[in-house]
Amino acid sequence: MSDDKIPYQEMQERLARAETILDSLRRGEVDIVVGSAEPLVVRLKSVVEEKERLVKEWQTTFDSTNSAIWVLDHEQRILRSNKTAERIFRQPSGEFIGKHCWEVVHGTREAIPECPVMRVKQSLRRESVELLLGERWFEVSADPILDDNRQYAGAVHIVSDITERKLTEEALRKSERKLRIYNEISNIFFLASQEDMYSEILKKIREVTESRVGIFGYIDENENWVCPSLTREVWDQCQIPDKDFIFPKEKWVGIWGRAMLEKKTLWSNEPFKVPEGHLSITCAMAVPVLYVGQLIGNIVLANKETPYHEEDVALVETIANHIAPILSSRLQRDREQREKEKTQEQLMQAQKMEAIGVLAGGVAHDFNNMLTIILGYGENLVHQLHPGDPLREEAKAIVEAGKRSAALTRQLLAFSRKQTLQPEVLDLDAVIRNLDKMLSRLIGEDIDLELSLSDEINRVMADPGQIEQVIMNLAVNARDAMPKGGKLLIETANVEFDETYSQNHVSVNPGKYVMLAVTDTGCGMDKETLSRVFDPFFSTKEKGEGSGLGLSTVYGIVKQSGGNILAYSEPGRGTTFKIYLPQTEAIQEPKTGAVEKEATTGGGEHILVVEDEQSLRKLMETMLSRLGYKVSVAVNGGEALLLVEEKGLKPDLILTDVVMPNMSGRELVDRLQRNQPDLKVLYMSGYTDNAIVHHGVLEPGTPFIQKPFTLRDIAEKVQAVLRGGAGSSR
Amino acid sequence: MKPKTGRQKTDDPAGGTPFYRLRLFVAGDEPNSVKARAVLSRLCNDHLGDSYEIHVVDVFEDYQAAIEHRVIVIPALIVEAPPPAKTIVGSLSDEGKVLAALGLTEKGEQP
Repeated sequence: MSDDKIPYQEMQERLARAETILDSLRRGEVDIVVGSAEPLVVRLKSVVEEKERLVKEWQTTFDSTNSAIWVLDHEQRILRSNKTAERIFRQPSGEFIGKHCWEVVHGTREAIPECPVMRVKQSLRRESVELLLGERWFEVSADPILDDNRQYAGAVHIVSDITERKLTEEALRKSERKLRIYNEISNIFFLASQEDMYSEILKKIREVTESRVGIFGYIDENENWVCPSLTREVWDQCQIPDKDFIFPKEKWVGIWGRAMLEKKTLWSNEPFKVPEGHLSITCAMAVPVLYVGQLIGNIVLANKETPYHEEDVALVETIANHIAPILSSRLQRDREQREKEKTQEQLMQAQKMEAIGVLAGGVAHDFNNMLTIILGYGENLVHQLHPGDPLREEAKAIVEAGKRSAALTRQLLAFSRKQTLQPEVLDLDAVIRNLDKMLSRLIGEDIDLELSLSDEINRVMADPGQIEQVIMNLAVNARDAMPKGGKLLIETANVEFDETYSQNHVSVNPGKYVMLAVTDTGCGMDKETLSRVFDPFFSTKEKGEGSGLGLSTVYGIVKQSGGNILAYSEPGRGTTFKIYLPQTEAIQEPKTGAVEKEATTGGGEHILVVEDEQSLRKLMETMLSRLGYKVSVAVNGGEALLLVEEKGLKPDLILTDVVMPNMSGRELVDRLQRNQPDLKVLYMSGYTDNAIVHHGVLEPGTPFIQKPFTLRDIAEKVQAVLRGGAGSSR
Repeated sequence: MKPKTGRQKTDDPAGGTPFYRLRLFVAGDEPNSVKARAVLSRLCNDHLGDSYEIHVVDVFEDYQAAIEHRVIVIPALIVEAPPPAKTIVGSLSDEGKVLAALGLTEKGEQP
């Protein structure tokens, strides 16, 4: 059957050819296939080479990833593994293949339910978990492999070492946390009130260190550790008697004290020995806050649940470093603020005293003129009435009341600095020693008087009588503050104020002063009382016990003498008054002998009275005439000049008011004495106005009589001047 | 068709080495084609002396020749003479097979 044989043979040949071609194709030995239907050549890649290349490339990639990768079948058996898996699981690939993943990873005989591969079977999407194995962190994730019907066919199990990332994240987290704390603390500094600031900052630091208790305070100007936070934090829990929130340097003890003294962080996780009533302390750290090497604060923390770790300490130290510049500037600001407030307070006090002084002075002046009339005519009345006349007693009562009123107005004048001082060069120590006996009697037996007088005290310019009154008033005040006895200390010292001091104290000029301090150990005063202590008619004594003018008088005298007075007091801690009088270079004049008792009546000498107020003028005329003088009167300086210079009046004495409209008494006398240098003069005044006579002070030795005066006063004064000459003293 | 001859053809001496007429289909400078050309050239030189003629056909220039000779894959070598005609496909890297197809033993002797 050649017909059958031929096709068969041909078929065989064609098959063989096809086989050959296929074989060549498989081996990749063919470049192109020639299509017979189209005029095209189809280029062929080497199938085999490409496949091998792909396989190799894939394996290289697979091995090159830094994660351990397994391909798992649906029963979690490992089908393929990469090189990194060998490294991470420390076994050659041959050991894994065919095993269940859990046997290799966990060494268990059963699957772990929470394993991502178990979960991925359900969710059919990536599942992952982070694990800490030994000291390294791993992320284990599983991605599902789905078959054509989107059914679970296995998983790609990837284990990545994420230790580096974790460390970076942790470092970042820590630095972010620090930054957050810094921010929060900065905010507290800028937003919280002075009261809340310390406790809120402490609260923040306690939070981050998980400390149950703590103290945060600053160092003040006097090296005290001041802890406003303490009162809020543990005040109620602390059972220590006499607890305080201000710790002076000499009381810096324990870990917190040593940390401040040594300027370094101290911490311990050993339980502390604490005084009775003190909160028990299981562990503690103390971190001083230093700014440019200077101790400005201290952060103390205690009682963390777990022991303190170096990291806690480092954190608090960085916080301390962070807050140091802010705290420093805040403290500086607060200090300046306090100084400013103090200065302002002083200024207000000074202004208040000035205003009250003007008021009191004005009233007293008018009062004095009226009192002069009351006393003058009152006395006149008494003299003219027959001793047996029943009206005489009534007239006497008027004179007595007038005298008491006069004493009161004198005090007011003293306070308002409008009284006429007759200052001398004065040795304060001598004044005090002279008063010693009288003071002892004044203060009584229950109070010890102690004098601490500087040996070489400088001289001051002051009215000795007034200074005596100052000391007496202060002593009386001290006595009244010590009803149960105590100690009265009077000190003197030379002091010098520099520019800085005077800048911080209103109305204190730099220079050399003599200090006179009067200190008692009495009941002291609160701030409110202290601020009003010099106010006239302000008194803490029972009604009727004091006029409320004692300290006002002191204030006025000191101020008028160019000095300053400061009061320091705290309730229960006594009071100190410090008086500063400017030192003088002038030399003390030798005291003249006591003036003999003068005759009180005149011998017809001619007196010219210059007084602008009519009733007073008339009174003077009456009084002096009664005393046996020839009297002329002038309404003012102009009329007086007219009488003397034009009409040729030749008075032996001019008795003139100091303050008058147009021409003052002083101006009048200056004018008259140009022609009559030996003209005798006696000034009188309700007060002496600053603008006219040397800040309210007549030159030492100028004859002067203070209104109101009694008949006897004026009689003596006039006699003294007439006998002693123009320059005679009072 | 671009005939490429290694040598001038010589008469077939009776009972001597037969004359080989070879037609090699290549595809430009594709790797297998370059390889095939080199292998064939070397084998002919080594085993056939002067008695051969190689016609190299580049199908990129003359694909019609490939169709005429019913060549489907390139490279392909057709041994046209001596008969029977034979076709070897691929890069000719299996040299033993090529020699066998040419009717030469591995020692270069005729079969």
